[in-house]
Amino acid sequence: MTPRREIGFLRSLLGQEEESEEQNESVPTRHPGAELADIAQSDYDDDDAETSWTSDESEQGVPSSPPAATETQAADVPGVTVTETDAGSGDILETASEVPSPQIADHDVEVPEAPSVIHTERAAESPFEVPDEVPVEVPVEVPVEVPVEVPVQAPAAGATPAQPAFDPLQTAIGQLKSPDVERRRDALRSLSVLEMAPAAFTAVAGALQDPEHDVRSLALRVLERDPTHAPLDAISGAALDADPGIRARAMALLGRSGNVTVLPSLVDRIGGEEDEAVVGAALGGVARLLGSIDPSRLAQHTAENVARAVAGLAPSVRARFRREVGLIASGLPESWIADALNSSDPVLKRGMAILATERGSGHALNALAALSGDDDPEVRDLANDAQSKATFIDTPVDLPFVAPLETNGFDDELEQVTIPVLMTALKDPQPAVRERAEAALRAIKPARIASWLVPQIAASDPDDAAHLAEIALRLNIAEAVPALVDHVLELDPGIARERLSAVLRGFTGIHELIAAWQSDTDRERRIAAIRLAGLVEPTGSAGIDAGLRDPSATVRLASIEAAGADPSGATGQALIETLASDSSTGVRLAAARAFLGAGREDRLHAAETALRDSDREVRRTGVELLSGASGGETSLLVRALQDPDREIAGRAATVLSQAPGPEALATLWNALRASSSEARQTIIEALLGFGPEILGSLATQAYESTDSRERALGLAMLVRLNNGGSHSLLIDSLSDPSTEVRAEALAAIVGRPEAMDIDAVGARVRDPHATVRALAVSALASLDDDRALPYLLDASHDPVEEVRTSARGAILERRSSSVAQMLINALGTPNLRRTSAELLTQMGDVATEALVKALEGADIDLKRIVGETLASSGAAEGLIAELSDRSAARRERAIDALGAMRAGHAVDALIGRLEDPDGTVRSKAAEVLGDLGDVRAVEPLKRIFVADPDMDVVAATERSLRKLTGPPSGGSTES
Amino acid sequence: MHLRFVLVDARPTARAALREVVEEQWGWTVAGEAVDGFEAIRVARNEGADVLLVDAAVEGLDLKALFDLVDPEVGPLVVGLLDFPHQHVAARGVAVMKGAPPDHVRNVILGSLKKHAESRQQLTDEGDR
Repeated sequence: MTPRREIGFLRSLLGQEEESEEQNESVPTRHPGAELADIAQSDYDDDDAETSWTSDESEQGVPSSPPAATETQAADVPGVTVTETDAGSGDILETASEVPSPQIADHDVEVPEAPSVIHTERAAESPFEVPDEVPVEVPVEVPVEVPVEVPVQAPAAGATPAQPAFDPLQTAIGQLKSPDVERRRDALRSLSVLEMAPAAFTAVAGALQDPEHDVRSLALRVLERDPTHAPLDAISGAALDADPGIRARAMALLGRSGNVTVLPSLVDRIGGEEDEAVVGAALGGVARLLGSIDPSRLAQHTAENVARAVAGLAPSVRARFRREVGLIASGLPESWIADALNSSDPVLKRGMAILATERGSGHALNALAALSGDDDPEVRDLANDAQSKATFIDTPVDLPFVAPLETNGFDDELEQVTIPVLMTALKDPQPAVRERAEAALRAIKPARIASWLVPQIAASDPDDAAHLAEIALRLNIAEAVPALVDHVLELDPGIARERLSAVLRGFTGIHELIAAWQSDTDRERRIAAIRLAGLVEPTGSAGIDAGLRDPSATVRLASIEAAGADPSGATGQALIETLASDSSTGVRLAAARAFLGAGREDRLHAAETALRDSDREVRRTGVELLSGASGGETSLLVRALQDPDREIAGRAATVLSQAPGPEALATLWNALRASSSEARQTIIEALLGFGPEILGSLATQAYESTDSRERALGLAMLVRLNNGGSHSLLIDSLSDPSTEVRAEALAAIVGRPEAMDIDAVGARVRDPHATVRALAVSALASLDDDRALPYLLDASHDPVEEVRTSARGAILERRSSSVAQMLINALGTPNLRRTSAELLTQMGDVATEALVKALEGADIDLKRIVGETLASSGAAEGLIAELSDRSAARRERAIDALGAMRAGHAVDALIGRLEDPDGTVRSKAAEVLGDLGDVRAVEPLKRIFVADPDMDVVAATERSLRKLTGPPSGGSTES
Repeated sequence: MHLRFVLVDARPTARAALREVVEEQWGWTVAGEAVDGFEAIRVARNEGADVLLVDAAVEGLDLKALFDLVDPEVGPLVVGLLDFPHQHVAARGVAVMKGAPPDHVRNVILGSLKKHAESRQQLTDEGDR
């Protein structure tokens, strides 16, 4: 059973209400004294735990301490005035009913009169941890077990002596003096749960001198159960214990005693204690005492000593135990504080100044505020603080203190508490509160406000950000401007951005900021400057103009974007110049697009510039800027009809055709006259929108014109309207004296075999104009008819390379033996010979076969040409391979071809044929070897000459040998 | 043994003189005449000649070439008619000085033919074995 439950069990036996777990619950607190006093009620086990004063547990800088006592402990003590003060201002918020507290002069047990009073205490940030809304019931009766002395009678002789009754309390008390430390510990553990008579406390107090630390700690634990019965002298002695933990607990216990006589001891320990936590316990003890006693019982000199002790605290200690100091201040009469501020004792004055600051009440602050000229710098600072505090202390609204950071060092509190509260107060419905809040904010350094404001702006929604921006503007927090700028630049166009932009415009120095950013080396900063200028100076152009001259294309693009959707005036002019001359295509394109939403004149101007650009996208945008609604736009569109890019020309034509009325028709028709053939089709397509009847009439009229260009136009239109034009129309046009008309007709014939008159078209391959000839070739090439071949062949040696190439290409596309034969036949025509040979060379195997075949019966010249052609076509290897053909005829033919080709590298293969089984082949081989003139063939030929049984072979061999061995010539007896 | 001769000399007069010797003195037949070695072979093959009387100065296929080309075991006997002793190339083939008595030349021819015939027979006998 845990000690806590033991207590509850025992009390239930005694008829006491068992305290609830919450009442006995240890609640962490910052007041070490109060916390320590409840160790007896906690689960703290002396055997296991160490009283650690160096524990590093902390909550928000609050020193750690063992579990705290609950306020119920204090409430259990009758006559305790339970008050709660606001931790910040020190104002008294609630007061419980007061009962005069009895004077405990000695250690005699007294049964206090404990009226049944329900105290409802509200939880507060108090060092005396008061649970929330815990009804505290003071026990009505406190039965006290009085030890009964049982007389000891001498046993009768022979009679058995009676055994005395077991008294655990006495037994435990008796064991306190045991030489065995373990017995002493057990005794104290027992006493910590037993119901104690007041005399027992005296006995336990003696254990405070025990040499064992844990025995002394246990003794304290017992005494903490009822501080009012704890012998104060012994506890005061424990306040000097070697162990700081015991000292601190002793001081806390003194603070809970409710006896003002111990106050001096506690005050002395404040100044005389080295251990900070012990100092804190002493401060806590003082604060508790002051809060528990009747102020009339407090001697003024004692209060002054308290102030001196506070003044002697190091700032860090004071900061650490600020709440205790605050409670001390609240426990002192305000008039004493105010009066002592006029003391000549500097230490006292300083201490009272600190207490006045912490108390924060009007009278004390006003008295302190008057010391702004004091010799003591700390007093002066506190006085200045008091001045700012005093200005709104009279308002019914609680506002936090505003203190310069340098004096109180509460940086975090300023930004986490003060500024946010003041900002909220700016929205208060009461004007006075808003004024006070603004005045307080103005007293704070702008940089500190900006430190809070900047992250708030970044995290806010646009409306809140605008509100914060307006506050920043009103307070002239220039440090917040960059954050505001970043925020506004991230916003999409809209009301929020406009609102913030308006705020930024109101900032003094915004223009200087923009100017500084414009010359920043950071490109992103320059871009931000341009965007900001666009927001802050929507009608201004200086920033944009500067941006358009920036060396970075990215910055120039940002400038164009900042120029808005309707650039005009100086900005528009600057954009036109950019469009005309910027080195970056992307920038020029952006500049052109910037005018898409501009007025007509500006768009016209931009389009005119864009249509001259080298980049097609820029020119395309130029066309988009035009609608054809004005004469100027029409002229530009007509110009665009001549654009080399078909898409751009087509777009221009489409725009023109969409403009209603005969003017557009006339414009397009005139454009048609002036356009290139490439653009003509685009324009014609656009003209189709006007209807076939009108166009047909116009076309016919044009075709009958004496003007050649007009006739060509008319023909083109008639062709388009009549889905290619009539056959007769086209053929007749082939004879037109106008080159354009003939060309137009041929262009229409291309790819239309049904409209083809081969001879009429073929005749055009000799047209005086190269364009016509080229078109004729195209038309013939599109025709899958061999009758076109002679014309194509004719064109294949055209003086103009384009025509030649086209014709030759058309021929080569028809790779066939018949075409090869045609070419071979053409070899006999001197002016076609070379071309035919070249074509045959490119025709591959098909031509090789025909060429070899053509050698049969060919005359010398033809043979030579065929041979050259074969040689050029690389047919030698194939023919050499053919020397091994199964057919003697093919072998002979191959030999013949190799001979014609003058294939010197075939000599070895030909020598091999001297032993061919076929005499004709041998003869041919002998003959060709003689023709080739390679002397390597002499010896083989000689052998054949003398050995071959075929006399034709011998004769051929003789002839070849005679060639190879030189003259004399054949001076035979037969000649 | 009746022999058929081809007379090979670029000069008609020389061929006439040779014809007279062959036909009148030796009683053999002149199968044909040639002006150079090529013709000589061709005529000899056409006419089936046994002996080629070849002037040492003949061109085209010269005497040496004829000696090289014509297998004495198979083809006709080539007899060179020399003007100078150095014209006899490495003792290959049969050659006589032009100033030699006709009987001597006749004996040389017959002796060579006999020798070749014996050689052919020997080869044949060896082949049979």
